[in-house]
Amino acid sequence: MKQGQMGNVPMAKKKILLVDDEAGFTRAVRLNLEAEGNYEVMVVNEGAQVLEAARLFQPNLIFLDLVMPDIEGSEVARHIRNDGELKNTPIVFLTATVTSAEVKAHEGIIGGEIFIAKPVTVQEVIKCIEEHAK
Amino acid sequence: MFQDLKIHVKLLIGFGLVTLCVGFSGLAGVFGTREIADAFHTVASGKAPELQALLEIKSAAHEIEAQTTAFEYSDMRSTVTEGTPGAEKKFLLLEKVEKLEKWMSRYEQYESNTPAHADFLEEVREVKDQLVVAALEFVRFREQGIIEAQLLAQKKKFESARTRLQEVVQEVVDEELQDFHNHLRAANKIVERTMKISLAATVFTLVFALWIGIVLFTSVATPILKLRNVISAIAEGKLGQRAEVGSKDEIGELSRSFNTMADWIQREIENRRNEEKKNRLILETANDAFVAVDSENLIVDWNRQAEKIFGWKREEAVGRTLVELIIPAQYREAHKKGFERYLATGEGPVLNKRVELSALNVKGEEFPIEITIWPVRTDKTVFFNAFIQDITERKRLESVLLRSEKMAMVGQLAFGVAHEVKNPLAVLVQGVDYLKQHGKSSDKNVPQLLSDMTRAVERADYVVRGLLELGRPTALDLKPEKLGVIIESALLLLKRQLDTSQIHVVKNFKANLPKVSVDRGKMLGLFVNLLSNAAEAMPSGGSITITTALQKLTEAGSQVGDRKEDVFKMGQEVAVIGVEDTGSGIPEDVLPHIFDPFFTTKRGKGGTGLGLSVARNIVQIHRGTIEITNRKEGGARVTVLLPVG
Repeated sequence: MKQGQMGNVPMAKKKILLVDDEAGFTRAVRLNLEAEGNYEVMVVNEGAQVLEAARLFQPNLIFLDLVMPDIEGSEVARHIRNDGELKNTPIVFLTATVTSAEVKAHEGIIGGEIFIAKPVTVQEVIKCIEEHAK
Repeated sequence: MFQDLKIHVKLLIGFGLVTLCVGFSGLAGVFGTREIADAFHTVASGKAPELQALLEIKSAAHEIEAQTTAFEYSDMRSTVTEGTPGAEKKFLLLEKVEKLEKWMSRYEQYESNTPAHADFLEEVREVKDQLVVAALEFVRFREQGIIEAQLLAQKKKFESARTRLQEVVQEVVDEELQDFHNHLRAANKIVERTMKISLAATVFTLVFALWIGIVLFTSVATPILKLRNVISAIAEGKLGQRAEVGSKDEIGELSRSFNTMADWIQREIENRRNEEKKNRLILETANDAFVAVDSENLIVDWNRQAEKIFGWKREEAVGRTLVELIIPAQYREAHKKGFERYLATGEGPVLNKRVELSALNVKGEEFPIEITIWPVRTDKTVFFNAFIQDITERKRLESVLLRSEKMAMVGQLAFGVAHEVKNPLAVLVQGVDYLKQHGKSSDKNVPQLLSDMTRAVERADYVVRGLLELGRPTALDLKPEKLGVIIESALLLLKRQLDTSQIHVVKNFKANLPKVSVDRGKMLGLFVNLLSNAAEAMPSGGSITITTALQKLTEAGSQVGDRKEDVFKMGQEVAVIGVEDTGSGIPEDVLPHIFDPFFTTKRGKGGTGLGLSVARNIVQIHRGTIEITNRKEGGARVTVLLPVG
């Protein structure tokens, strides 16, 4: 687990928890979001550690991959929603299992869940955060 | 009563009675004859000598009369000659008198007991004595030359005695003759009576014998003739005929036994006919064509389905060869060799199993068939029976399904590939974004390279999307379809698998189920998948029950699968398709994963793990639900709900 950097900025930055087994992807997304200056990002590359990290980090939004080697994203989401502290944290499924066309067709919500299709641009990630973060 | 006797008893009685009759008739004859003989014997032995004596008496009396008459006219005076005529005449008279007395004493022997005859003899003797005295006196007078007057008086005396003797004798003779005639008449009467009795006995015997004959004939011959007619009728095929059982004799027993035999024959024949009829019906209503050929390779049977498949009528086909009618040119040689080999060796590699071949119909069009041939050996010859199915439709469905399965496989593959490719692309997109925005490089080529990289990633993403589109099931071809028809098609495709595993299929299809708007090919794939899973769960046989129904949704909740309440509204009408098997069911730990892609319990046994995930996908794109549960009775149940209307 890699801890996000804590900056001293007057306005409270939005805390984003980024869960994906692809370390290259999480690193690039974190760099992009932190470069924007408004976001504090924590990265978790193993599904099993998500709950512990989230409790510690108290994110405003969680980006969650669906297909991971140790645990399914949907399983992780269930654990989060069953957690008293975390249950209201918005979860966005950031996954290659859907296509951008499908997401667009369903206006971002499939089966009641928020979806973003990989590959995704920085602008799309920021737009999603601004839309759904609590 | 007579009817109830045994024939041999009847015959015995009949012959006995006739013999008795003949015997009586003979006895009557014998007794009659005996009586006649007695009568004539009486006449002959009794009356005849008596009568003879009497006639002799009459003759002697007559002679005495004649002798005395001669006295009147003879000259009895003495002459010169020695002796006198008178003496001679006296001697003659006395001789006659002696004769008379002799016969009288003989006569006396016969009739000594009768006082009338004693009186008669007395009187004859008296008169004779008077006559002899008078005659002798007359002779003496004549010899002495006595005067005429005395002589005349004496003459009158012996004349009257003479007449009296004649009268007396004549009287008795008449009387005796009368008696004799009476005896003869009596004898004649006996003859007549005996003749009448004999005649009556003969007539009676004839009539009685005739009657006995008729009775015997009616009681013996008539039932036999009737039985013969019944036997002839049955021999001509009128099996319902039965002999009349009118008596308790041997014929009655024979009739009863014969009827029992006829019942048995009729029952057997009817059973056999029914059996044949049933077999014929089975053959005629079979879904398969049935064709039989004899050892000469000539067609001997050809059912209705065969007429339908091949287009040749039964009467056209029977007596011809398979080569002439249905075997395509390229197989004829092989067919001929196989046939000859079987006849020679009893071996045939295509016998007793299902073989896919092709055949010709009446128009000469070749089409695929599945054929099972089995030889039937009888004592003398061999027949080849074959069940044949036209598998054109199955072949077509198989190709449809194969294409559909291939597409599903491609879709799953594309999905996996796309997923694996898009993840690295996502890294690249984010990396390039960062470098574009925040990269600090003085190299003037960097922006160009980064924009080339973005385009490259976009192009890769485009290709991946194309791959996904290719794998994506083609647009749904929704048409109102009858689910029952599609299920039947699926069963047709799986027929061999089901038959091989000895799986019995029960179809509880709801009549008049509304048509459901579905993609026929995909639905076919769905049912093939579900039925095939059910069959695989029962490798050593069992049964599959397929149910279709129309239902208004009233309750939510589900086991494993889709949540009905997410898909349907309460009160909505849905078509329910249930597939139940009698297999071992699904282990509880497997049940939650059963619809997961690539999840399989048949890994390494040909299972891809895509079957049920594809099945669910098919149901989902039809806006339906699928769920799988274990049945309490054992086995699993798959329930598919599809929207109606």
